[in-house]
Amino acid sequence: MSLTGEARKIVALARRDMFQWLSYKSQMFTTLATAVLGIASWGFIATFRNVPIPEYNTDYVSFLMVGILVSSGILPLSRGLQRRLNPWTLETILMTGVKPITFVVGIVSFTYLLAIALMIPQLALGVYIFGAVLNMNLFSLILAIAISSIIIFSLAMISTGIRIVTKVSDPVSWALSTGGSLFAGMLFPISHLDSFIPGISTFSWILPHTWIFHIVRLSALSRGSLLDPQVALSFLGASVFAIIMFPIGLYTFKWGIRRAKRDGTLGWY
Amino acid sequence: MRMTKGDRTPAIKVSNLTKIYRTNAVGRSASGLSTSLNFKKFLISLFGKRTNFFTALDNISFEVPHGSIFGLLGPNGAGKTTLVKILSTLVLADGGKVFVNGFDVEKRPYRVLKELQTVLSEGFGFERRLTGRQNLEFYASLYGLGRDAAQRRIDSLLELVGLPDKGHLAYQRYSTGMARRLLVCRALLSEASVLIFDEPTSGMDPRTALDFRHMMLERLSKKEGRTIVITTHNMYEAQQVCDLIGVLDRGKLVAIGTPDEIRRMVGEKVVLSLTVGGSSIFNETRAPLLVKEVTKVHGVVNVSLTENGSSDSRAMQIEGVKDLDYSKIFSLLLNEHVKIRFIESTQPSLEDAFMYLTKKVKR
Repeated sequence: MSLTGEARKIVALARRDMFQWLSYKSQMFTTLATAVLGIASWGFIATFRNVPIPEYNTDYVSFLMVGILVSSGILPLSRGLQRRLNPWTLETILMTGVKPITFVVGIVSFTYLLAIALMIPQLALGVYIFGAVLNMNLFSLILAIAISSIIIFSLAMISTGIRIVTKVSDPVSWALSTGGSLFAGMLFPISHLDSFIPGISTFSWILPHTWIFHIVRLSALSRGSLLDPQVALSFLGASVFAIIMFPIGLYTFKWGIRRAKRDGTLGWY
Repeated sequence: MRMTKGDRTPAIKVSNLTKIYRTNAVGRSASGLSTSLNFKKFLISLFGKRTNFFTALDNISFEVPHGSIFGLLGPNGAGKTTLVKILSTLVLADGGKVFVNGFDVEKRPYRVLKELQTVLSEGFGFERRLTGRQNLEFYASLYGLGRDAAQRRIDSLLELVGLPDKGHLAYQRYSTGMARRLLVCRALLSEASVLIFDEPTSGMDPRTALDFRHMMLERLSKKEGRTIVITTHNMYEAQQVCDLIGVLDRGKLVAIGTPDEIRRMVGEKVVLSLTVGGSSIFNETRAPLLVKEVTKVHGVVNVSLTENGSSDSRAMQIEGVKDLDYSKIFSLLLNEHVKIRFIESTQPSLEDAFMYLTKKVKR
């Protein structure tokens, strides 16, 4: 497997999705508008109830902005994979002999790049209009995004592998996404959960999303350095998640394809 | 790896191939979903208990020599698409072995996909919003072609299939015939020596279908020496282009051979239809004698002489076997001064053979 050859295939898949996206002019406008208006609506809510968030040495506006940016910048990876899973195209693409890992990276690439690009106006709005304060450690932030991407990418593969078999729904993604929005701390610090059921925030740490929000916030809001043992421990925890989940994701994706080939349903919706 | 007709290893070797689909308790089967759902069956299907089995391919064995055109005939549901998908590594078999140019499809799928490319009849796999050329560029990249090589190949392929000035059009503007031709371009982007076309001319107008058959026979098979497998319902097409034909029915390979061999499986029957005139034909003594004499000719099984609605001619039908002695028949007729006004000889067609062979398997 030549790396350049595989990279060229990834670029081809991303280019195809980009051309497709660019061909829908109104969709381009609505995507951009949704991203900006989305962050604006959260900005109004956060400034209405701005309180200090001691866990990250910041305020609620900054805390929420980062949560929303992570949610719209990294999490769409799994959605990108599901949206591109058109079975007819899947069959013809697999017949070209493309490797599963190349295929998966290729079909999420454009969604990912687009989401990252959309973060720029969102970030600008958050900082200059709503007064979010970023206190970044750039190295930690890049590492946090890399670890988070691996976790989400693994989740996307698990989700896709199951979806290739079940065709319609994916209980794993559903559970993680619902659990994530409730317990992972996207909109509020997970310690807030303890005021309803004491000790419940401990369970949040079994969700990969919790680790993603946590390490990104540490590096973007608290200038978290890996030299700080507490920060390093958090990154280690997230890395363990990534290391465990990646092979599981790859295995599940390959299992899904093999199972669909065995059932003869690879081309079914 | 391009093989030639002389190669001993067959391009495709299928041994004892079996595929059994599990169909769930809700009633999902090869023919679709049952309309009679009930809650118990729904619960069973939900928890994965599957009770029904459907044999799509039943112990199939055959070989396709290099450089030949192999036609796969069979009624709907015969197992043609399953077989094609197993060859294309899209479906896994439950028993038996399949080799393409000597490579096992299950153990070395990526290698097999360098040797074989398939154009499926269902779902074309093109992006509707992209142009024909952009779609081909995309697939060329997945086949590992460099940019310049891809452009050259795409130009020549669009020319080959008669779409040299249509590459810039969005795929959604393509007619069915154009889309089919673009599919052929995609299959030919790779250097695969074995090509499979699943019902290639369905949806094509007669002219386009004729051009396609010509390209398949003259260019892909004769000039480039590629091995071609086609599935088709079109007997004329199979008769015209195939060197070898396999007839599938209900998952069984019920016949395999050249088109002539398949036709002969119906029997050796020949029907000679004549429109004849002359005084002897209307003579009540000589006409029955003539019929009796013709009946005695070698190979003749039955002769009939009937009115045909005309006052100066009659219809004579002579049924016989393949080695019918035509010269003896004609000399008998000419000796009686019979005027032959029309003549037609009919042999069993591939369609007759198909109907006969697929009726033999109990449904």
